[in-house]
Amino acid sequence: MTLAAALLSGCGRGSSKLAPERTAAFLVTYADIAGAAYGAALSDARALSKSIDGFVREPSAEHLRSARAAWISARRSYMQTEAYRFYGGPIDAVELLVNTWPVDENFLESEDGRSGIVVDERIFPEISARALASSNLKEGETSVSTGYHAIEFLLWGRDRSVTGPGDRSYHDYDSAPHAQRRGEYLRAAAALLVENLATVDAQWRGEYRAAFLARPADRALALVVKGLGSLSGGELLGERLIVAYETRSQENEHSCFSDNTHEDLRLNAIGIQNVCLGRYADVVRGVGLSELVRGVDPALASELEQDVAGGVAAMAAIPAPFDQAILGADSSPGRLAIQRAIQVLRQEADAFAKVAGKLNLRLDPATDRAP
Amino acid sequence: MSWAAFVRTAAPWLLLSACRGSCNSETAAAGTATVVDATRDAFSLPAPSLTSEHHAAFFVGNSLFNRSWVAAPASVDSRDGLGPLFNARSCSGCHFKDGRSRPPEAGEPMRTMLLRVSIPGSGPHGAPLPEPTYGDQIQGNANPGVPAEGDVIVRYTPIAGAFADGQPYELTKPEYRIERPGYGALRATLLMSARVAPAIIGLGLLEAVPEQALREREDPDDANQDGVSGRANVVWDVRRGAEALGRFGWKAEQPTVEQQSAVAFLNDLGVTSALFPDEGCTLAQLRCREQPNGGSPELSDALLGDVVLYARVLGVPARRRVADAAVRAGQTSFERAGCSACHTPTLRTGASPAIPEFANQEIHPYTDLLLHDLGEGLSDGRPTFRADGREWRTAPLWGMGLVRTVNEHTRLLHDGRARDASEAILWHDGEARKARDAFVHMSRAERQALFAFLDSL
Repeated sequence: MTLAAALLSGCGRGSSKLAPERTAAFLVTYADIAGAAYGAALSDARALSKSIDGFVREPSAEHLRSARAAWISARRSYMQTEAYRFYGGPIDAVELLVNTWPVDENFLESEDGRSGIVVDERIFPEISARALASSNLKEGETSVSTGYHAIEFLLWGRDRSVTGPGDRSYHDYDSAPHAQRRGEYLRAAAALLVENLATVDAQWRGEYRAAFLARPADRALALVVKGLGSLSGGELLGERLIVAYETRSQENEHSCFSDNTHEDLRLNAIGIQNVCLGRYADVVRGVGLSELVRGVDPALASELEQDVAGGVAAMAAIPAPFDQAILGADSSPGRLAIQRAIQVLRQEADAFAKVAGKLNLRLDPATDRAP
Repeated sequence: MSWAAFVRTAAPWLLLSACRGSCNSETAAAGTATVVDATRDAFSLPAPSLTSEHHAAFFVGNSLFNRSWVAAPASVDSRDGLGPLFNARSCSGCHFKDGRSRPPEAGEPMRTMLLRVSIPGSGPHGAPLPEPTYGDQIQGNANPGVPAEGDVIVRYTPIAGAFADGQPYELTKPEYRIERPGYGALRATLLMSARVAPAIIGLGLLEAVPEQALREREDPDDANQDGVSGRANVVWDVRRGAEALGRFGWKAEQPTVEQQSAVAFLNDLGVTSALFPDEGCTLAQLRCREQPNGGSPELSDALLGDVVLYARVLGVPARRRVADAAVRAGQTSFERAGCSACHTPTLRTGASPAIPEFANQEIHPYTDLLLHDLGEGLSDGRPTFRADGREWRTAPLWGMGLVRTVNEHTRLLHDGRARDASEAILWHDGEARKARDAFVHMSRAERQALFAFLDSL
């Protein structure tokens, strides 16, 4: 029976026997994970900002390495939070400043070094967190001037290597033309990232957490599943895998300067799994979505767990660097692995649709939007 | 049952329970192409009914729609070909998040909208006659070494008025001037028409409404004497090399989503395609003509096809709060005032060969896609095929309540002069005078209800 048929015949509604305490416990776990995950993302972003400050103050190969390592580390925590996007929650208010991609690097610094925010003092007289925020996306959805990927470009530069990431020299921050402005840009972008993540973290520890937990349980659950399904079946499946696979183009690679895309994908999948299993690192252990489903439909709960674990495994199986994995014949190991991940994500997203049907969740466009 | 299909089915189910079935179809603004989302992504989601092949192609088209083009030659040759003259570097530069653009702040040059220009007379098939030196529109940007065409500056003059109940209002009438013209003086007889970029939701559905169904709504001589005439624009279909009914653009000057997209690539981005293989440099723009190109054409058929598919299949957001008393009252006022004579609530798609998923859907776009005389106040004095200066295509209203969320403004009408729905209605005249007058005579509560209805779309 399809979901539509189940809903219309009424058996969807009848079979939804969620225990209220269990549901409440799940929602608290969900909010706890949000608090812990955004807390980690914020603290890692602060470490990144600090490392960048040190590098800009005293540019050296070693300090550049540290700053890059801090960026990779900051991604490890941030990518696990993306399961909390796509329903008008706290992150959605600032996401365009935080993780927008792909970056048109020419908007920051053209290949010939003659235009872009870094070099053009006439059009962009001021380099500051405010100024960067107001120029973000001004010329379209890839004219990205803020967030992780702008910082990534400033740390790595264009990736022209087939084996590794971009290899920007630390001299771009001492002796190269526009070194000072580039440094100011990098510091301002990192400071703005911290500022934006701090608002999200504060919301999930205070006001929004309270409002979220005060929602009718089914309305809160609908948001949870919409977030998971949209990440899995839209952003990850469509934007991050299908486009890169179909176009074989590095410009459609999520973290195209640092070659960290394979890790980004895997950590996104882990973020989804965290919510399904009700856990976050060794910090949160609670009730997961699959446990909630188990009370209603044990078979579906097992299916969900399997599909979500399959998602993590399929992402982890994509060989690095991603910009090489998308090339070659469809029978190449990289393209086979991505094709497989696409299939697995389709299945995972469909599992969320089944969960939504089984739990009788409905989306209300009037209220399920930005607070 | 796919995730996308769930997003579709969830909404009617909600409303079935909320208002006993009667508002089911009203919420589903666009049949099975309705998406349930009222966030900033509301205009950016694929119609849930797409096949998995179309679903995959949607994302590829989306990436092309968003990405910035660069001047040729460049190391990334799949995206070189920008200019030599252009308004924007990407489609999303104006159709940000697939939504509607707005006019510049006072004194700022135009960035996300544009000024069409022409001289009196008409070109082949009735198209406007391009300004001999500047062409069809003012392009304020150019590649290095090429003079840009100038900065378009808008200035607003206030016009005071009052509702029948005494509450005053103020409209703002725009005037445009071109500063720093790059190629000398423009013709003294210059005709100008400023255009914002509209939201691009549901275009494949509008394309799939049978021509006959639109023709049936024409009443050029106002035979039924309701004050509303309405006629189709007849334009030139470049691919077919024949006349065709115009459906897209503020004056219904384009027949298909494909041609609309290819024209925008050429004029707005300076990117050529098989439909429009020649750069838009006029004979007088020598430096423009000497520039290297990014291939002939710069946009391959395959890539144009991906963007066209994308533009065709963006879903339409479900209506919100349809059961609210104010929304219901506003809907009644909308109909009683006569707004729905042109802003037709319901159309049906036909066979839809381009997107079979869109066949035979009941849709609620609030447009008849026909031209109507809206009076002298809105006239641009610039004939476009069969449309005279006063005639404009009825703008679809679906999604209008979400522009505030997606694009963070509430500007309306072809040039964005109206700062909100009230001003947009007040600008209506000509065939819409009766409806406008009805609005002016509404009580404050009735007006608020009407806005609540429009916000629910």
